[in-house]
Formats: sequence, structure tokens, C-alpha cells
Amino acid sequence: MKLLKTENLSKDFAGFRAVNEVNFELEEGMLVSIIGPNGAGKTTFFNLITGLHPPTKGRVFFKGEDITQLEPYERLMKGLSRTFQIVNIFPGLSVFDNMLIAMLRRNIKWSNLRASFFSGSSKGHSKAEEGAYAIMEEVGLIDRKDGLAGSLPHGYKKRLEISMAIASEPTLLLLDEPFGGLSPVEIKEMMAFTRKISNRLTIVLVEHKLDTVMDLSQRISVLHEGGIIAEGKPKEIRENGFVQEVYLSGRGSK
Amino acid sequence: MEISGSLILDQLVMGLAYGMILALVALGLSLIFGLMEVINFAHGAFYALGAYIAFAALGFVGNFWVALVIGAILVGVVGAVAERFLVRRVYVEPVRSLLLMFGVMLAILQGIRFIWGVAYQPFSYPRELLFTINAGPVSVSAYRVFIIIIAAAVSYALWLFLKKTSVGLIIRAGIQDRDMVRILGIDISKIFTLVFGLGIAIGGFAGILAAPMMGLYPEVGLEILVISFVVVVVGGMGSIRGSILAGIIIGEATSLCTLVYPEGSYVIPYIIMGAFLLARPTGLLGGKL
Repeated sequence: MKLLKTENLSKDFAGFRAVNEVNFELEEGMLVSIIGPNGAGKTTFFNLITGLHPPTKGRVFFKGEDITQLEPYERLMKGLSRTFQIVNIFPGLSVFDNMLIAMLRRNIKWSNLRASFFSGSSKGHSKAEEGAYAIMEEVGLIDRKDGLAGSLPHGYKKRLEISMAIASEPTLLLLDEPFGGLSPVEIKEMMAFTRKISNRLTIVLVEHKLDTVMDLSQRISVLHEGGIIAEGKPKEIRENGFVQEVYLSGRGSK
Repeated sequence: MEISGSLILDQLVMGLAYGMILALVALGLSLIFGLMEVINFAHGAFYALGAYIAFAALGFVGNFWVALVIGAILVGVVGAVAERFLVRRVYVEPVRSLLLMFGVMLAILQGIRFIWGVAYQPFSYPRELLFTINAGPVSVSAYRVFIIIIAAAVSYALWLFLKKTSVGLIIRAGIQDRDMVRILGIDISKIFTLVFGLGIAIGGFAGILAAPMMGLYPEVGLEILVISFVVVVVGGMGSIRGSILAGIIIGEATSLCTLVYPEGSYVIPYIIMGAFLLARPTGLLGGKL
């Protein structure tokens, strides 16, 4: 059984077809990437999988179940998590508070909340606190835990956002341009970080630079004008003539 | 007229007490606006309603303290019910929510007039606090000191709640970014009811505290509403500390102004607000405009 499967997934916006008959499959434990130039439909494809937009056509299956009609929140509860191109954190809260609130979605029960009304350390709250500490240790944010999330360096903000996304212990994590805006050093760190977390969950990365994801991915799918034009091992993609012509041509070698 | 030191001190204490009342009212407004982006035009009406409910309770139980608690809780419940059935229908529509809250204000005002009449009602001070505190040359009304202390205590309790509990964290995050809290999978609509009720309860509590000092009549809410908006603007929308700070500033400014230029004390809050709107529109500590 495939972890994720889309069947003829399509999305039209006012006569413009953003995603075109995409059949995409993924097994548990893989780390794959979707690349394509800007406007290829990568983020829209993610939005269809997470339920932000209803598809014009086609279906989405997660763990064998048809989730096409489910709300984003319901898909989240099933283990499907994502990050966004523009970093989604609470800039005015501390790093620790950000992690805590991400943990709360797992431990939120109204009985817990009532208890924590009277004492700040009910079982629900401290389970969340423990979890938050654990993740912050793992991702290297523990030293910055009391700082304002908004004043973190960009790379750390992204790391925080991803940490918040994995707080709910998802099975599948969709990362939307996690390397965007990062310096070369930060990119290396983010790659190491991604490899580390890929040990316990399945990851789909969206990125528009092929070089960045070459070493990282087990498989690369190339999206162009809403449709997948090539899919295979990184080396195959790099040597694919059609891909070079349509996507890599004009980019030259860096 | 010579202004003696004890007169100044008296006005300072009065200003602080008045300022803390304003701060409590502004706190409620700020919480509600911060989380739900509703401009609660009915806040003053709930302030008055709280005082009237306490007044009625006082008639039954004869005890100021019991009436204080009953009044605050009951008016908070009324607020929560109003949120659950009325306010939440107009959340993303600013014009409709303004109109709705205006309507609620009128309804409450008329309801008060209908039940208790239009005349001024005397609200007696609690017997226990009908004394003056004399410390050397200084002599201040015990009730005013009580207002300052209890308002500070309520503010601190609110701060603890927001900082230290899970619900408080969700509220703080929701004030930052409501949609993101939803994306995280947290059902924030129950929290809206809680926050609205809480904001109203705090406002009503302030109304009860103020009633012995400032008198009880149906329109008392209208007057406090306008000034409390000034406080929220000066303190910064959505900021708890800002509301308290601004409340104290405006309370003191008004009180001290009556010493030197009594007519000016009506205008001074607006002058301060005008200055802020020109120089620092987000207010003292606010983030949202």
C-alpha cells in the first residue's frame, strides 16, 4: 500500500490549469523531491494534498484512504503535516512557546486544559513541555528557547517551523521550499537536518533548484506547467534531455 | 487657590484608582479585540450591567463582597452567551460586528432603563472600607486604595493565566495569528467564548468597583466606553500591559488636571490620544493597528 497516492489530480483557476492530471505515488520511508520552475504548480499540488484547495478533478489517497473530501485539520490528524514557503511561526512568542503550542495539538484535551487553568503544570502541559524540550534538543534550538521567534536568524526560523510541523508526529511531511532564502552554509545545515528527521518519517520536498536536492532525494519528480514530465533517480533526471531542454536550459551550470 | 501637598496626594490616589478602573475596562476591550478582532461597542453597556446586577444582588444579600462576585460572574456569563449566539456570526465582517455590538449596547441600555428606571441609584460603599487611612500627614480613602490593590491583583491573575496555562498560551498565539492556531489543529472557537466572557466579566467587575465612587445610572457605561477606547488606542490594541499603563497615565492626567484647570480634565484624554495617533499610532506597547 502506498503511503500517498494521487489519481489524475487537477486544479483549474479561472480557466488556467495549474495542476494537470498528476499521478504521484510514494512509499513510506522515502525522501523524495518535486522540482520545477516557478509557476510549475508545485505549491498548488501541495495545497491539493493538504486540502487547502478542493481539486477540480482527481483524488488523493493517504494510507490507502480516500482523503479528497477531508478538511486540512482532519488530514493533519491522520498524520499529514506541511510547512509553507513563507515561514509560519508566531514571531511574538518565544521559541519555547512556539514549540509548546505545536505540541498542544497532540495533547489537547479539555480536561487537561481545565486542570492547567489552575496550575501551569497539569499532566497535559508537562507532557507537551517534555516533548517540546526533546525536539528543541534534537534540532539545536534549545539554547535559543527563550528568545523571540521573530528575532531568530532565517535558517533557524525555518528549522523552528519544521520542528513545529513534526511536533504532531506526522507520518508524512511536506516541505515547501525549505531551502528558500538560506545561505550556502545554512543550506548544508538544513540538508543535514532533513536527513536526520527523515529517519522517522516520509518526506516530500518541493524545491526549484535541482542541485540542492540531488544528494538528498531518493527520487525526483519534475513538474512543468502542472504536469509531471519526468520522474526517476537524481542522476537520471540530470541527464534527461527533455528536462534539460524544458527546465534546465538557460540556467547553465553554477 | 493654594494647592496643598495633601490635596495633590489625594488627587494622585484618586487618579490611580480611576486609572486602574480604566485599565480594567481597557483590558477587557483589548483582549476581545486582540483575539477576535471585534470592536466591542457594547463594552460600556456590560460595564453598567455588571454594576446594576451587583446592585440588585446587594439588595438581596446586603453584602458588598458577595454582590461584587455575583455581579462580575453573572455579567460574564451574559457576555459568553452573547458571544455564543450573536457575536460569533459576524467575526470576519467588521462593519456588521460594529453594528451588532452597537445594537447590543442599545438593547442593554434600554433593558437597564426598563428594569431599574432612568434615575440615579445610590450604590453604597462597603461598610468595612468606610474609613480613611492616616499615615502621618497623609490621609487617603480606604476604598480607593482597595480599588488600586484589587485591580492590580486581577491584572496579575490575568497575566498568570495568559503566561502559565495552556489556554493562556493558545490565547496569546491566537492574538498573534488566529489562522495559524487553526492550522495547528486547535479548535479556537471555544476559547473565543471564554475570552469574550472573561473580558466582559472584567469590565463588569470594574463597573461594580466604580459604582460607589461615580454613581449608578444607565448612561454610566457610555461615558466610560469613550474613554476606554482612548486608553486602548494609547496603550496599544491587543496589549495587556499597554492597557494598564495607559489607564494609569490617563487616569492620573485627568485627575491632576482637575487641580489646575478643571475644564481641561475632560479634554486631556483626547489630547493624549491625538498625540499618540500622530507620533506613535500603534500605541505604547501595541502591535496591531
